[in-house]
Amino acid sequence: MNRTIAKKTLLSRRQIMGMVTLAPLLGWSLFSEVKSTTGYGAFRDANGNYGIAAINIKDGVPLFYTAMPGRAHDLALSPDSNHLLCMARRPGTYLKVIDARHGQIITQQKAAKGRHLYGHSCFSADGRYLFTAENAYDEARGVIGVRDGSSNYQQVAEWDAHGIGPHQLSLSADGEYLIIAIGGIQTHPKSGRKKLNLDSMQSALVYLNAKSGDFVARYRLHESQQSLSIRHLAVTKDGLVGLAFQDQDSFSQNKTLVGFHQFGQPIIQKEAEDTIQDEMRGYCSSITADISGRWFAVTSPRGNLITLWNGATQSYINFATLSDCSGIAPTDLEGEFVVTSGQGKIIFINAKSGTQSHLSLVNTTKKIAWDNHFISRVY
Amino acid sequence: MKLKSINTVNRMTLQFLVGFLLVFCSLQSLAVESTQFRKLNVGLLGQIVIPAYRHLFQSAVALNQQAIKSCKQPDDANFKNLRDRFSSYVNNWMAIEFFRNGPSKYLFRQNRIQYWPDKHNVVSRQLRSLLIDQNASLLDHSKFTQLSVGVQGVTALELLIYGKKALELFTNINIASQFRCQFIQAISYNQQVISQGLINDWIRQDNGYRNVLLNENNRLQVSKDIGIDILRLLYGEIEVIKTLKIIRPLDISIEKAKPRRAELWRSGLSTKNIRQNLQTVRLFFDPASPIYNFYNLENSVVNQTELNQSIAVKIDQLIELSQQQLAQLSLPINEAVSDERNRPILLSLVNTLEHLANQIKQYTNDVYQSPLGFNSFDGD
Repeated sequence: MNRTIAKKTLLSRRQIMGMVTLAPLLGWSLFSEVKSTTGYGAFRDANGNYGIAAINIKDGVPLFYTAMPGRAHDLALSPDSNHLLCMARRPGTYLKVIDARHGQIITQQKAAKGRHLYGHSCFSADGRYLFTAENAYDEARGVIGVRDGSSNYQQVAEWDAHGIGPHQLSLSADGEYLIIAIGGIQTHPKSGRKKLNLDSMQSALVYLNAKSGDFVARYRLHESQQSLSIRHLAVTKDGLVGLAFQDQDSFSQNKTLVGFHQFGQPIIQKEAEDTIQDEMRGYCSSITADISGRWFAVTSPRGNLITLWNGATQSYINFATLSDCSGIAPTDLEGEFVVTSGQGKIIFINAKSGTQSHLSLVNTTKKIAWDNHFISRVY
Repeated sequence: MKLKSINTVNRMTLQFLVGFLLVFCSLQSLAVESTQFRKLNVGLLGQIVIPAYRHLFQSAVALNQQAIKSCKQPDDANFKNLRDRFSSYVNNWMAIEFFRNGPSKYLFRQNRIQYWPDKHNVVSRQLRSLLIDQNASLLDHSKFTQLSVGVQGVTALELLIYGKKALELFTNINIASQFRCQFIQAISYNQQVISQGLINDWIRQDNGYRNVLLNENNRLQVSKDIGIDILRLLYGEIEVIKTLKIIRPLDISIEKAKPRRAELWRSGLSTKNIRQNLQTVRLFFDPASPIYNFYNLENSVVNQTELNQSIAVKIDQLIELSQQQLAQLSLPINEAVSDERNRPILLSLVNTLEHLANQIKQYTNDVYQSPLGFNSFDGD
């Protein structure tokens, strides 16, 4: 067991926040039972090569490393857990299908002509189709690629995303809707990653019919919040959608960077206290819900901050720190999340119990920087 | 046949020995490298960071003592002395402001020392309300620390001693002025307690932050991680100077300049603050420094034939250039942003700081073989 836990009793909110921050310093040590869980994430190694890695987050044993031709972004696991889909980061075009247990590349696809990927995808409820967020860049239009897993993930349809810059997407809890975070930012491969429409950007949350691609609904933030880009989301089995924003106005302070949404209702933005808002530095890189759907966690790497949120009350509860943190995924314990960092660190934090622990990778000398996103498979 | 077999054995032995030597040399090299990283951490924390926190505490004590003295005898001379102590305390804060990790995050100390930028004018509104209420019980330290972080630090203190009619309000003999002075004392004492907490948390033997970071059995961080963290903090400081302290008040044109967005503009300390920020960053790279710093590390771990010029030297030169540009300003930043002669100097400074930040990124990449802020600065 390569996992040590720092545990504190919850006192006042302010006290516990300080304690969680200091927890790694104080050297508390006890152990926690974790079932076998695999985590997957994209990385860059010390030689500047990109790839994806799978690790057993119970014992820190790396399961495989698979090289990628360029920087990857998010991964998606098929519902049967056999296929791991690796998407190129914007403005990349590759899509690799990987054996989720052994790491071999099974097949690969590219974005269609005039399209690039945004790095995120998700599966249909039956696991047959893969939905990919894409940019039809010459038309300045966001699209959703529909790919058939039963025929090597070849593209079989393309749906309008109803907004510029679709980023993370997920199925609704009942599998009926495809929920898309529309970042609102126009880019073109000729301009690299340059943002071309910050003055007029319009972010939104779009619901499509997951079977037909028909438009269902669009939700926007208040016009005073126009500089916020809705980039990442997490959906619970109760249908609550957690949202993480990125502020494109470098001068603005204290904009609320986390929101919640229920179908048919407006997006609710939720604040942490001012000092925590400041530390989020206008940028959230990932959001996820825990296994129970009661807790959410959001990473803000510019402030080395992980904020924890109560899904039931839709309120901020706590924070922890990790340098250059970003990837975050649920474990098999209620309230617990695994967090990865650009400095190769892996920690666990538990919103319910207020504990924090650290995982060391074993049997490897490979030094990697974990990329933006991390996913987990619990079995 | 026998001879061939012996040759084969010899060849294998030779191959084994060469392999062993290669592994041995590489391990030796790693050990030497690890020693250098550790030496760097010991030097930077022991000779730059911790002394800066000591100075901060000492100046907080001096500020608090002066606040007590000034309030006992609220005259012009004591008002001036109080302003001097304030300036000295702020200067010491600027010398360590960049270290936004560890004890400065604990209990929101960073924000309780300086809540800035204050986009919604929280400090002014809350301070005004507290001064009107004159609830003396809130000035008791245990209650004062529960007030908004905005009114606990130097932003509020600056308003009290540099705001409109500050001298008059300070020297008046009435209840409102007395309460105002008690508020000044409450902030000053609070700063003393915060800065004492900071230095104590750094140096205490039992789990002090210094010992935790330098502990060779620290499983959370190896020696290299600490240097990368410091580089990220220094990069972050350059970004704060560039974006918040200069570009934000500059805005997009001279007509739209926002003088009041300059840091501590009432006391005219905005330029001096940046000078001190940069002076601190320079200590980490200065080739002439007696401290084992990033310049020395670069010389130890990077093959010099691979480098045209030391990156640390380039960083040092860019800081020197920034200081020269600051020296060309004939007005404080809040006035310079709206002045036709000074504004271009600030724009040039922004450009220099951009190069400086890029060089810190380059240093991390080349010397630590690690991207600086892989997620923080290059996420999606």
